[in-house]
Amino acid sequence: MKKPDYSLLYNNWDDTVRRRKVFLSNPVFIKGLALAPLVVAGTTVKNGLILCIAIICLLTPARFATNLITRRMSVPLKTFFYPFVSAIIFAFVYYYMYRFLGSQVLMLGVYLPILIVDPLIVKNFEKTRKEEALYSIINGLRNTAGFAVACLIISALREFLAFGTVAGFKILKAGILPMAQYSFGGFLIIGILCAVWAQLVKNYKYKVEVEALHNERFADNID
Amino acid sequence: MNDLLTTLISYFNLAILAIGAQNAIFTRSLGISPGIKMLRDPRKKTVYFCTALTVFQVMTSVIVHFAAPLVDKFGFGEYRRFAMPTIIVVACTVSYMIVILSLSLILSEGKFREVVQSVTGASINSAIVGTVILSQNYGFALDESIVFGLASSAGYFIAMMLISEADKKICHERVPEALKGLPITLIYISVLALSVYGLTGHGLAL
Amino acid sequence: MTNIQRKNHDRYMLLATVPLIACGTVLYSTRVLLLCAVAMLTAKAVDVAVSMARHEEFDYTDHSSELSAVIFCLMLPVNIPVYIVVVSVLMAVLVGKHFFGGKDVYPFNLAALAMCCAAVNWQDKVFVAVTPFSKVDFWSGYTTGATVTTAGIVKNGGVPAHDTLNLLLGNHPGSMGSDFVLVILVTGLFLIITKKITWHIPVAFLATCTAIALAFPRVYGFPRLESLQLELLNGVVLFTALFMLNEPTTTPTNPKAKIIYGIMAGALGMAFRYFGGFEFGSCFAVLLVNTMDGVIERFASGEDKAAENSKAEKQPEEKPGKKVYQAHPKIKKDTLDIIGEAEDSIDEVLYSTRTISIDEILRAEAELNKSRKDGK
Repeated sequence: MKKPDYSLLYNNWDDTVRRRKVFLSNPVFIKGLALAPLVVAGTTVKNGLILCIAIICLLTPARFATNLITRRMSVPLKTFFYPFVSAIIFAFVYYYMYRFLGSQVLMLGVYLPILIVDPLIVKNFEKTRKEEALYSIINGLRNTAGFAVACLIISALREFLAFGTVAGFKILKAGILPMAQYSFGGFLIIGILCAVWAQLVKNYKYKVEVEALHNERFADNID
Repeated sequence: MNDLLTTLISYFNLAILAIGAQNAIFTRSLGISPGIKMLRDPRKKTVYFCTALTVFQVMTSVIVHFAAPLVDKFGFGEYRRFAMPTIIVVACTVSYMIVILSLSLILSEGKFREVVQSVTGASINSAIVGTVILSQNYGFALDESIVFGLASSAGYFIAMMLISEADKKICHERVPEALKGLPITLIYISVLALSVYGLTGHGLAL
Repeated sequence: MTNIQRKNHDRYMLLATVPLIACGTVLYSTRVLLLCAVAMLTAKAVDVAVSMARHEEFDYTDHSSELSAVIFCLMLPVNIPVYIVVVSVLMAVLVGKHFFGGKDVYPFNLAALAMCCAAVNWQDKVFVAVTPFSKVDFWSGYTTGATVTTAGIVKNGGVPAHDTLNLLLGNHPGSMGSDFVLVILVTGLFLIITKKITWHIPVAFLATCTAIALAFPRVYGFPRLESLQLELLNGVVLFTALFMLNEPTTTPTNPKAKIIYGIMAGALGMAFRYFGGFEFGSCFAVLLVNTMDGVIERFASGEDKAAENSKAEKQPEEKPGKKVYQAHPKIKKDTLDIIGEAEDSIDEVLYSTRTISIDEILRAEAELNKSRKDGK
């Protein structure tokens, strides 16, 4: 595998972080967004997948549509246009998800509808900087990927701890920690995963800094 | 007299349900992301934020209560569930406009700037949308949905106060480096939620 | 309370549990010793593992984890599976103590946390009572004497058929060590007289429980005093008053605050018993009241928040019995800050751009160079 250019990464660190939304600036583990549905509804892989599908259908289209519509709007108007657009898109997404996936979608109760006002989707409303239409799609896809990874990790781990199964396949006779299926178990597990994630990011940053510094010194010696 | 007493008792039960067993933060985790964000933002004040949330909650409940039957009237009754979020967002917008306009008339400019920071964050969030959808799902009457909304916001306020009280206990140098910040806050909330759970036992209607 | 007294507190409390362990061993079986030993070993093992992971010197004088493990163990029935004890103690000591910074700074009572964890995870196994002198298998804990707890009978509106003497002596189906009322009372009095603990919290707690039990008797059609006796002499009320509410780390230091703390714990404990989903509501109440000790302390000492904040900024105040660490200046620029930042410009991730210290880089670089040389 090709070795990454650490000096380049180090010099453009802010940009790197911005681009790598799955790992370096994960919307759930690092920024703490979309916690409400994950804490209560993200208890099994099945639920996790439904949340993921909803976010895939919702996040990027909402971002793109709002970007096109609100281009010339002032900030206070934008504030409410974002949730409004996402609510309208959500109405269709919800309806078709219900038709194709059946009553399982309704089992998540209020935790699908509240996605429309989650900071993961609407936090952009206070942003003053304009973003390009293409960039809004790319950024939306990155955020979606970040959320999907976090959501699947959390729901799989919680299902394993609570019921001893992963995606319905039996691994253990019973769950090791039945409290994982309740909201307080969700807070605890997400808290611990956030800490592990933050540590991994820190280790990576450390590695990049050290390697970049080493490269610089090496270059100095050649001169 | 007896009727009044029965009504008051039913209100009380509803309020206890919303504050304790169905607490917005500890049981339902509604509005948790904006809540944590608000606690760490020096520009926002918990009291303003939670008061604004309560006002929006009640106003939105009332507007939605009258707006929701219109969907049936126009013959979209079977799609009501899917259209509800849009109605709520519009109701939130209307209540935000009303509040902001009245505040700008009442307050001086400096004070208005200070208050608006907190009010905007509280205007649209999952605590309001979730609670309004719940009270619609339960089929509450107008008075019941107002009581439920008020009590939910009170539960949110209490939870926020308990979490902000924790700041001194979880922000010190002995906390392991990786856990500082968001992770330790979530773990603290987890223990708090566990203690509240002692009051409710198993079972939560989504 | 100075640091030396704090250390002694754990030792004296550990000694105070010895009579209860002895009574439990006589009434139930030697499995009590096994369970207590497993709990203590688990607690110590977590302490050692954490100190190794954090590259810190192991503190041999800290006994708070073992004490909490034993207190938790004494509230369980003797037929409890060993893995429940291990997992609950692990959760309490690792999450409740070390995640929050370790000894002297943890915010929740560890024994209460362990009990709550066990209660919510394995309700059917924790809220069981074992008839005294019934045969219990040493390793598996299998017994034919398992029955409903006295607290559970009262909770379901029934009246347990135990006379006062048996309730006092703990000679009725119950847990390993929290039902020996007479022993707990004598131990408590001894600890108060010898000034190892203060009277404020236990007395305020018990007085509140008594008042509530007298005012709102749960056992209908029963004389109030007998109902009171059933409330106070079963479950973990006295045990909580003595062993869980006196922990210096999680309780206020001001005497007036202690009384308010006791009253709040009593009121919440009774509310949890009356309306809660579990028999031992006091443990949940202890956790909840732990979160309010700062408010109670401020309220009782009449200090307003602003004054306290300005004092804290000047220098970290050394509260007796509690080591207060100065708020870390870096924390505000940490993960949570991102969420605040996210509001204005979502993509400015401060946390990830935080630089590490130059010493760390130089040290790591030296290691890297060395390993590369070795590799060549």
